[in-house]
Amino acid sequence: MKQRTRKLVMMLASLLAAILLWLYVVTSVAPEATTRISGIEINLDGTIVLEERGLIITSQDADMLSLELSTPRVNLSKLNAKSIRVNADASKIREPGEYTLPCVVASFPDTVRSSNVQILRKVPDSVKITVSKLVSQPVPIKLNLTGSVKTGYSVEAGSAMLEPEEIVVVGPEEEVHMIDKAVVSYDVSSLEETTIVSLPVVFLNADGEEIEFSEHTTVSAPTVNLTLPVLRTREIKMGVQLQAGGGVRENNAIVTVNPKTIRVKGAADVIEALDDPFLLGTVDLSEITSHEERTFPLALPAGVTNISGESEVSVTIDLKGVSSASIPISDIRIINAPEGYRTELSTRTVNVNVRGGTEEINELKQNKNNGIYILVDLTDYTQDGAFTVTGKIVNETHPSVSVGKTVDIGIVITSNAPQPSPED
Amino acid sequence: MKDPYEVLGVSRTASDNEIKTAYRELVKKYHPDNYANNPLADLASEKMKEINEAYDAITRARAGQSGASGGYQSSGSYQSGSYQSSGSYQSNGGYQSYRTGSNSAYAQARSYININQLDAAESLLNAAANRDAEWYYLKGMIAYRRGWLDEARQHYQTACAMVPGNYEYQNALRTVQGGYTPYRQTNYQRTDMDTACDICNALMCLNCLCGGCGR
Amino acid sequence: MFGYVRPRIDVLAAEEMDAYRAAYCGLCRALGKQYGFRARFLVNYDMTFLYLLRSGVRVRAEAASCWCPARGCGRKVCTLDPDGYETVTACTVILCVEKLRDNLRDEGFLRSLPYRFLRLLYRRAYKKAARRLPAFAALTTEQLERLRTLEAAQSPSIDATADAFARIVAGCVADLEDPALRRPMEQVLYQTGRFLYLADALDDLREDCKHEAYNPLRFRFAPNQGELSEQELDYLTQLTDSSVNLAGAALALLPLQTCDRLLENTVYLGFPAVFAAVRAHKFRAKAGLAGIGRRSAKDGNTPKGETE
Repeated sequence: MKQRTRKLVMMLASLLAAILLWLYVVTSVAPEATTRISGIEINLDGTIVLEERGLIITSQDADMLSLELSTPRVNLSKLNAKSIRVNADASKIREPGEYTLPCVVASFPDTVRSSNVQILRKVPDSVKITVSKLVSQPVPIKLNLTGSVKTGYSVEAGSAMLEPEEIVVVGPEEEVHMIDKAVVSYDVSSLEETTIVSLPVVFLNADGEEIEFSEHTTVSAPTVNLTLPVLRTREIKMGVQLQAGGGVRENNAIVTVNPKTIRVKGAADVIEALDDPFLLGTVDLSEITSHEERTFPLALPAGVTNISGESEVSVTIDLKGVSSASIPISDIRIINAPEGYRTELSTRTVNVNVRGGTEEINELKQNKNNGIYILVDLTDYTQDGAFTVTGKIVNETHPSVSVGKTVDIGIVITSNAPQPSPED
Repeated sequence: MKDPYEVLGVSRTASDNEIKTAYRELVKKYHPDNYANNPLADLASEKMKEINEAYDAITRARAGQSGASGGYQSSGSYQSGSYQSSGSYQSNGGYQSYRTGSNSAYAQARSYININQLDAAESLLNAAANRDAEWYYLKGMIAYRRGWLDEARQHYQTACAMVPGNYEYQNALRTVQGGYTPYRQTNYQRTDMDTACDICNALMCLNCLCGGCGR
Repeated sequence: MFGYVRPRIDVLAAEEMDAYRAAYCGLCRALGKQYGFRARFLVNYDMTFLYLLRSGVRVRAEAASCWCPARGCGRKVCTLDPDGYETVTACTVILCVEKLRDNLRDEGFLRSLPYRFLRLLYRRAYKKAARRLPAFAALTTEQLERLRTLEAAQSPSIDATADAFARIVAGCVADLEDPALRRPMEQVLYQTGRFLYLADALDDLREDCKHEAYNPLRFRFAPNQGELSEQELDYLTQLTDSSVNLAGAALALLPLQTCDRLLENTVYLGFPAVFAAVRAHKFRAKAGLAGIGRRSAKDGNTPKGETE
């Protein structure tokens, strides 16, 4: 009986030992596990250096890689697509062309010793890239206005401003050199005031088709600002400012203007502020005899442009209800007569030219006591003799009638001293 | 001494009326009220002085030529106290009587403000214990001179709220509210072009041929 | 660059429009000659204004017909003024490169558009410009840093943020020695910079609210879905008007011999018009679909119905 128990114990012990040995082998000295990790991003190194050399990578035939590797099981949980870094070094490239770059596992997570990881396969093991010349090209922007302008408005395409006026496009040579022109389009049909808008830029190739750029190409400004002046047009009446004078009142004047109106354009607020009628100048009615034609240049305020084609306006003035007459005045008054002398008028009546409203002139003609008199000032006359003195015509009673200023009056001055009797 | 005709911007053959008009326009433009509490007030008053001197010089010269033309003696009226150029524009004479109290810190602060030493004025105010209406008004003045218009407006509003009847405070608030519109040279009717423009035009004639091209 | 500083061209007389174009084209040409052909596309209206301001106190520079690569026509008139443009081109390069850098910071990834152009221009052009204007380059870096700090702190101060930017713009004339010229120009440019910053902030407000990006108006006011109330917009308009007044008053103190009408137009008419357009969402609005469908000559002009 004792021998049988011993055998049992021995069997159990060796089983135990075997298990222990197995455990030991599996955990520490055990063969590694193989695993495949996919979806690891391939990083292209050296893109900045390439750009400095005027190069750009425009395509790569793979951007993900799978790794087959064997490693102690312990490491398996730490290794995944995010924790492993794979590079392809492009930094040595100096010319455009196609290149095959080996994919290199650059690093594992810190907690894993790289010596414990054996890379069995890389799929793919290299990446093919295309390197193009990086060019920058300035492209002028063309403005394309469409639609038709509203009546009563003027779109000043010639003064339109684009900001910026040109765009710089940076990208692979093949793409950038397709550009024939850059265009911004805008419909002017509904515009009523100066507009500042932001417009997208459309790039066209030589066939007039729009180019859609890849993500490798950038433009200095995807939109362009357009300042488009929009002016209002308006017909304004022409007129003159009348200044009464010389016996002529404003209602005595008939004004004819040719052309009657002028077409102008300008900013809405400026145009609206224009006088209507627009006064070309002043006419002093005392200068008009009965009919006169005058030409006025058009002096418009800044910002208002004349679009009628006429640069001057002729104004005809006709007087009505105005008469002139020459009326005899005998009321001649002397002042400041010299002392010790006798003064006599040799002129008793003078004709004075008068002008004014017809009715008033007729009244003056008929009424001898019309209040107009001649004033003769003898301050400087101190001698005997016959003189012609300038008499001032005074009109205080009929202010709306214009009279001449002066008239010559004959006077005789004799001293009061006894005259020597003629010699016998 | 600059040519007085140039200062007034008139030609030598301008009529007396034209000269008077030009002078009045310039006085309106450089009037001290337009430069109240303005950091450039000293430059404005220097300009006023220059204009007054030019006007006097011209009228004296012309009076000498034409004999008795007593009408121009009235130029003296523009020399009245408020226009005196004293290097800096002191607070308008009439306002002195409205100042509340004779707080020397405030007086000092005002002096600093008038000579554009804003930091010094500000530290004086910050050290003051009492924050009354005058304090806010002076803070407003400092802010305005610095160009900090939002703060200036808020301070002036506080001062006005604390002492509603004060003309000085109200005037200051009006300035910042845009209610007071100073002289604006929107005169586009001037037809005299500087001769340099003519040279410019001549050079541009090449472009005139291309005039229709520019879109 | 930004494009908010521009004259109202619909009220300019013909010769003023020509002078403006000549100045713009002159800047383009000078950029090309001084910094290489790629620098040409940095030309913009804002820097043209700077040139007009600086050159306005001198006799008008010569203009000539030059070959222009940007226009179909070929020849254009540009102002020839290498000395006059020298500082302006340096400022342009520095400011544009810094703006690209800023955009890059926002977009963040290497392959972005600003990155590529930055590297195209950066090394040589920026270094040359910085050598020409070291103080300005330093000022720009410093103030932009300050601006970023304010942005990170979500500052509600319009003034402080605008100030950082305005100081840069005013710094474009720091090289002038005569204070009678420099001080008024600095004031004109400071207020111009303020206006520019505010206009840009208002223009971007909708987008910034949508993406929760920094915008001082977001924190100064309380926009409702990216829109400010009429009252708040009026307030901003009044601030702009004050800037116009201050800039105009400073302009009046400059002994301008040329370009005075262009400068006055820009300040008195341009600023308010641009601000009104920005306020009404009409400034550089994306053009509608009508008339701009993608066309192909082969298809016989049928739009493909592409959306923006």
